[in-house]
Amino acid sequence: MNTQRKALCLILCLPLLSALLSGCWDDRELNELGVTSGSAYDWENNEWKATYQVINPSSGASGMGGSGGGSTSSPPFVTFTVKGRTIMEAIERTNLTSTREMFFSHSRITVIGESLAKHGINQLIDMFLRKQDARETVYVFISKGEAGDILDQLMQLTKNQGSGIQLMIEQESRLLSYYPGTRLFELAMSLASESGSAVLPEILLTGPGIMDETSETGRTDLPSRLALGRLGVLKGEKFVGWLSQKQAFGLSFMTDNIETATIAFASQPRKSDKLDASFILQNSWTNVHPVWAKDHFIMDIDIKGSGVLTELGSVMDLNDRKAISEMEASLERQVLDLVNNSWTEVKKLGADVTGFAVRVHRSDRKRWKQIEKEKSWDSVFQEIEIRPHVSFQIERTGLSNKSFKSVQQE
Amino acid sequence: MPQNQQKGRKTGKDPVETSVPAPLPLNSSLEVNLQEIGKRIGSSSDIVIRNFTNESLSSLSLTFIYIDGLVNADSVNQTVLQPLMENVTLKGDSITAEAAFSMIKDQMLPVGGVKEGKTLEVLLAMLFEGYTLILFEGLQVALAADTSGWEKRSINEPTSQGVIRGPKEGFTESLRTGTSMLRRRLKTTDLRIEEYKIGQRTQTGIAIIYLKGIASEQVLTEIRRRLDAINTDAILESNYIEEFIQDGGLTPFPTIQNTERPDAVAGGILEGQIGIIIDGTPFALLAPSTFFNFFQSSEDYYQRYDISSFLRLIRYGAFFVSMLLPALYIAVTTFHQEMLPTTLLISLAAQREGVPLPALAEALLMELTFDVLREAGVRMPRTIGPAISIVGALVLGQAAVQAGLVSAAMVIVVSFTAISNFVIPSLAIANSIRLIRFVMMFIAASLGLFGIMSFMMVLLIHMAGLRSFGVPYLSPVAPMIPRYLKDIFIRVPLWSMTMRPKTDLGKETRRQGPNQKPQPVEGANQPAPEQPKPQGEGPA
Amino acid sequence: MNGKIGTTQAAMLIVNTILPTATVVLPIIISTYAEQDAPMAIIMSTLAGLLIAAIVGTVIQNNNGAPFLDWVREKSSPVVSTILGLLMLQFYLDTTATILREFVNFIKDNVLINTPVTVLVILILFITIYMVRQGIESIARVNTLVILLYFVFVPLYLFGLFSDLNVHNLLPMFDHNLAELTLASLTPTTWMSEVAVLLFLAPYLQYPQRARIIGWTGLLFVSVLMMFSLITALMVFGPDFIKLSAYPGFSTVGIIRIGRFIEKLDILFISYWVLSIYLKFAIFLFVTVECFKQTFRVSSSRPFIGALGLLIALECLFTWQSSAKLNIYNKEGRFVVFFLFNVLVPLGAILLYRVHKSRSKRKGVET
Repeated sequence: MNTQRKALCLILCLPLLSALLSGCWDDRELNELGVTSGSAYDWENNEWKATYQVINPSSGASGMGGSGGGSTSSPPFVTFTVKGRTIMEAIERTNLTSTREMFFSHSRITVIGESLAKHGINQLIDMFLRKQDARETVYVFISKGEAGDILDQLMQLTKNQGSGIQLMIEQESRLLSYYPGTRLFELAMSLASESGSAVLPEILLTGPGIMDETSETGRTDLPSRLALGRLGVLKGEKFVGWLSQKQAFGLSFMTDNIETATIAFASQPRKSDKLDASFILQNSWTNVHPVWAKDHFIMDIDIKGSGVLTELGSVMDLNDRKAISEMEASLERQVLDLVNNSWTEVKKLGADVTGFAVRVHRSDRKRWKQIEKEKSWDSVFQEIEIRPHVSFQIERTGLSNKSFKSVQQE
Repeated sequence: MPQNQQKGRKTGKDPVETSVPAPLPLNSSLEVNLQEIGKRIGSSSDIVIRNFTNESLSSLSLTFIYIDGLVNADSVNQTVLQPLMENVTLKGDSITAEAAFSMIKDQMLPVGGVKEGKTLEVLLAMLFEGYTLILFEGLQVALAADTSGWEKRSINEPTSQGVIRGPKEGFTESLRTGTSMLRRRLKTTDLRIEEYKIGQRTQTGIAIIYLKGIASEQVLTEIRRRLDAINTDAILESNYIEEFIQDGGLTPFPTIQNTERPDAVAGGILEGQIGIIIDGTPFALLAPSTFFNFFQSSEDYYQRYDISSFLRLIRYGAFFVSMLLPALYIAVTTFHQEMLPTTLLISLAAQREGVPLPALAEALLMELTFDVLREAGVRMPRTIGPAISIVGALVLGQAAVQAGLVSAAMVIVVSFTAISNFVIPSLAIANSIRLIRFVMMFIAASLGLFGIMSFMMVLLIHMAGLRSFGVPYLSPVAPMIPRYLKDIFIRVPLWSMTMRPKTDLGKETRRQGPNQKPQPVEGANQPAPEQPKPQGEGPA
Repeated sequence: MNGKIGTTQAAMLIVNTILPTATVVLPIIISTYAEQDAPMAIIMSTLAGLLIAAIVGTVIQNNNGAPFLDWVREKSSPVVSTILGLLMLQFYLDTTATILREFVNFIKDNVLINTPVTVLVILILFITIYMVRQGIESIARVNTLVILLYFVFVPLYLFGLFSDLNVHNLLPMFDHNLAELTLASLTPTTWMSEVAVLLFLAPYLQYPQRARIIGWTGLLFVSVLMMFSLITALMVFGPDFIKLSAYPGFSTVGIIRIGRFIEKLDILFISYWVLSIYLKFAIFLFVTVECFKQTFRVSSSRPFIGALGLLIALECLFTWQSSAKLNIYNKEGRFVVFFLFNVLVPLGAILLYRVHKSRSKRKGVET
C-alpha cells in the first residue's frame, strides 16, 4: 500500500520536475554577463547620463598587477555611456549597444558627477537600495567634471579599474586618514541621519588627457593618472561645496575617523615655525561631548592619540624629556589648527558633516526634540562653538636617539 | 506469508514452489533408496556412489555416497572407508543391521561430525554440504559423516577496505572461516551464532552473530523475523539479504553496513550491532546501522584520536563536497554570481568564453564521462588497466579543456568531486550520494541555491524519518543525545568512552572502568596505586 | 510514525514557529515606531508572549495533552467544538497561507526574480506536504538540527560585522514614550502569540505537563535571537536607515566582508533562512491538518494533507496576491485575529475547564 502510494507520489512529482527543468527562469551563464566594475552618473540636459565600465574577461583583467600591462591589444574593460530619463531606463538602453546583460553585483565604485550632485542624488541612492543586484557596499566618489571620463582612464598595476580605485581609497583611509571612504550605505545612512549631510571624496585625473588606450599604459610615468582629491560636501541630497584635503583631515579628527596619519610639525616651535619633523599617529580617539550653554551648544572635542616620531630635521637630543614634551605641544597645536580651520569651513558651508546633530540627539534628547519641532538645526548649528582639546603622546622615537643634524654639527 | 512474498512476481509459475517436494522417508531397501537418489540428483559426474560389503559386518551391504570436490578425499579415505573396510574385529558372528549401525556410528567412524538422517531431503542437503552418506540395507536411517573439505581461498587482505594500521585479514567466502575469525576475536561466552539456511535452490548458510546481553532483543527478534520471512530461491551475495531485510523501501540511503573486515564486525558487535555472515561472499553485514556508522572506519580506532577526529571531519566534508560541489558550482555560476570574489568571477568567465554548453550540460557531460570511466575501470581486464587511466586523464583533463568542450574550472570541480567520493569509507553510502548528486545538479540548474536548500530539506526530513531496525537513522544527532556524540563527528580518546553508545535500542552498559586516563602517580616516592586492569576490548 | 516529541525538541519547534518570519518582517515594523528603542519593544512583547504561553500551557496541563477540540467537545457540546474548529481551521489556513506568501515574496525579492510564483508555491508545497507526511517527530528532529546550525552562522556574522558595529547607534535610549512602545510591541506580540500552536501539538508531546516550560523556553530563545539580530542591525545601520530596508537582517549580512574575497554573504544566510521557513511552514501545515482532523473527527489525516495544501496554495496565490495588502494585514489586521485565536480561545478553554470543574464538584456534593 505504502509503496504504491509513494510510487504514485513520485509519478506526480515527475511532471513538476520536468517543468523545473524546462524553465530556468533566473539563470544567466557567465559568458552572458557584462560584469560591471564601476559606474558613473551625470546629469545632462535634464537626463541621466550613465557610464558603465564592463570588464572584458578575455583580456585577463582578473590579474592584479597584470602580465605586461599594455602588451595585450584588447582593453581590460570597455565603457558604455547611455542616457535616459530615469536611471533604469538608461541601464536598459545599454542592451541596445552591448552584447551582454549588465550585472552590477561586482561593482566597486560609483562616481557622481558634480552636475548630478548639484541636481540631487536621492533617486540614485534609492535605485541602489532597491535593485536586487546592486551592491550597497560600492564606494561613492564625486568628480569635478564629467564623471564618465574617470571610468575611461586605464590604470597601471591593476587592470580592473573599479577595484583599483577601491584599493586606493581603502589604502588612503587606512594609512593617510584624510578622509574615510564612503560606501553607498554609509552615504545613505548619514544623509538619513539627524545631520542630513554627507561627504564624498573627489576623484580626479591629474593630467588633461584621458589614458584610454592600452598602448598608452606602457609608459612608466603616465601624464595623467587617477587620484583622490578634495572632499565634496553634500547637504540634503545636494552638493554644497568642497573641503580641501587639509580641512578634510581636520574633519577626520573631529569625526573620529583617523586610523593612521602622518602629521608634519615644527620640532622646535620656539626657534622656528618651519615644519621639519613628522610623526605617525598610530592610535587616535575622539570624544565629542555637547554642552548647552544658555543659548548655544558648545562641543567639547577631546582628541587623544599616540604614535612614533619618524623624521626629524633639527638639532635635538631625544633623551631629553623636555624636548619631547615640546614636540608634543607643537603637534597638538598643529592638529588644533587643522580642526579649527576645518570647522570654519564646515560652518561656512552650513552642512553638518561633523555629525553634531547625532551627538546632540544622543546626549540631550529633550532639547533635540525641541529643535526638531522647530526645524531650527541649521541656525543652531551656526551658533555652535567648538572647544577642541588635543593631547598627543610621542611613545617612541624610532631607531635613533639623536637627530642626524645634531651628530653632524658636533 | 508466502503469498505476500510472491506478490511482486510476474511469472505465473513460481520457481520456488516447484522445487519443494514432500519429504520422503528412507525405504528399508537400499536399492529403492539408491534409485530414488538417482532420480533426484541425476547422474552428475561428480557424485561418487560406492557399494560395499564387509564380511566382518555379516556381509551387510552399505553404500557410500559423496560428492567429489566437496569432500576432502583424504578424510573420506581415512575416516570412513578405511575403518569400515579394514575393521575385522567382528568375526563370524552375524549381527543385525541395527547393531551394525549403532556400532559403526558409535565406534568405527573417527570423525567429528556424524549425523543421522531419516529422510532423503535431509540426507541430500548434507550431501551437498560435503558429508559422506552411508546407507544401510534394511534400515530406514542413514549416517552422514562430515568429510567436507573443498577448495577455499585462503585468508587475504581485504581488497575494498584497506588500512595502514590494523589487522590485514579479511573474510573469505567460507561461512565457517568467518565465524571462526569472530570467535577468535571475541572469546566470551556471550557470543552467540545462529545459523539459517536461506534460498530454496542455493541453501545458503547464513549466520547471525551477536553478543547476548549487549545486542538489543527487539532488534534481534526483528532480524530473525525478517530472515525467516525471506522466501526466495537464491542467495548469492550479502546484498540479497540486505535488500530483503533492510528498512525504508524507497530510499537512496543504505541502512545496513557491509564490510570485509572481521575487526569491523567485531567492533560493531561489541557496540550492540548484529553481524550477519553469508556463505559464499566475503562481505558481512552489520545491522542496525545509522547514517553516522557509515563514516566510521575501523582504522579510526587504531590511530591516535586526534588524527582520527580530523580524518573523520574530513570525511564529512568530503561527503558534502561529493554531494553538493557540482550543484553548488552550477548554482553559483548561473544564479548567484555575486557570491564569487570578483577576480574569481572574471577568470571563470574568461574560461567559459569559448565553451558552447551551458553549465549544467557541461557538468553533466563531465560527471557522466567520469562515471563511464569508473565503470570501465572496474570491468577492464587488469592488463589494459593503465590504458584506461591514460585515456581518462585525457578525457577528463587538459585535452578536454583545450578542445573547448569544457572549462578548466569544471574539470577541477568534477575531479575533486570524484576524489571526494572515495574518501567516504563505506562504498554503500558513497554510491547513494552519487545518484543524489545528479538530482542536485538538475535542481541547482533550475532554482539555484534555493533549489539546493529545498532538496536538502527533503533529504533531511527523509533521513529523519528513516529507521534501521527501529533505530532512528540520524541518531544520536537527531534526535539529539549529546552524551553519545563522543564517537560521531570526532572520536574522543578511548579511555573516555566509558559507556557503550546506545545507537541501537540495546541497554546502555559500561564497557570499561572509569578513570582510565593514564596519569603519572602523584608523589613519586609513594607506591603506585592499584593499576586499573587493562580490558581486552576489541575495536569499538 | 506518530512518535512523541521531547521537551527540548518541542521548545525548539516553538522557536522555529516564530523566528523565521519574525526576523524578516519584525525589525522594520518595530523600528517604524520605536527606532532605537526597538529592543524595549521586544522585551515588552516577550513579556506578553510569556503570559500567553502560560495561558496555553495551563490549558494543556488541564486537558493533559488530549486533542484540544475533542476535549472541548467533551467538556461542552459537539456544536461548540465544531464551530470553534471551523473558525480555527479558517484562521490556521489564513496564517499558513500568509506564511507561504511571505516565503515566496522573500524568495522572489531576493533570489529568483523571474521565476513564476506558481512554480515556487507548488514546489514549496510539495516539499512541505512530504515533510508533514513524515510526521511531527521527523520535523522536530530536523528542526533541532537546523537550530543548531544557527550557531555556525552567528560567529561568521559577528566576525564579519565586527568593524561595522557601532554601539552609539543604540543611543539615545528611552527616546520614545510608552504609547509608541506599546504600538511597536503589538506586532511582535502577535508573532509571540503563535506559541498557541502548542494547543494542537499537545497530543504529540511526551510530557504535556511541561507545556508551559516548553512555551517559555521557546519564547525566551526567540526573544534572545531577535534581540541579537535587531541590535546588530541597529548597531550597523542606525535607526534611520533601518526603516528604509525591507529586510534589514539580510541587508546587514550584505555588508559583511571578511578579507578581500568573502563578500555578499546574504545568499548564504538566505539559504539558512530557507531551511527554517520550510520548517515553520511545515509546522503550521501540520497544525492546520491537525485542526482539520480534530474538527471533522477523521481518523487519518493523510489523504487530506494534499487537499488542505492545495487550498492554502490557492489562498496564497489569489487572496494575498498584492504585497501591500499583506503589509497592511501584518501591521493592523493580524493583531486582532491573533489575539482572538491565540489568547481568547485558550482563555475561554481555561474558563470552560473551571466552570466544568466547579459544576462537577457541585454535582458531586449534591449527589
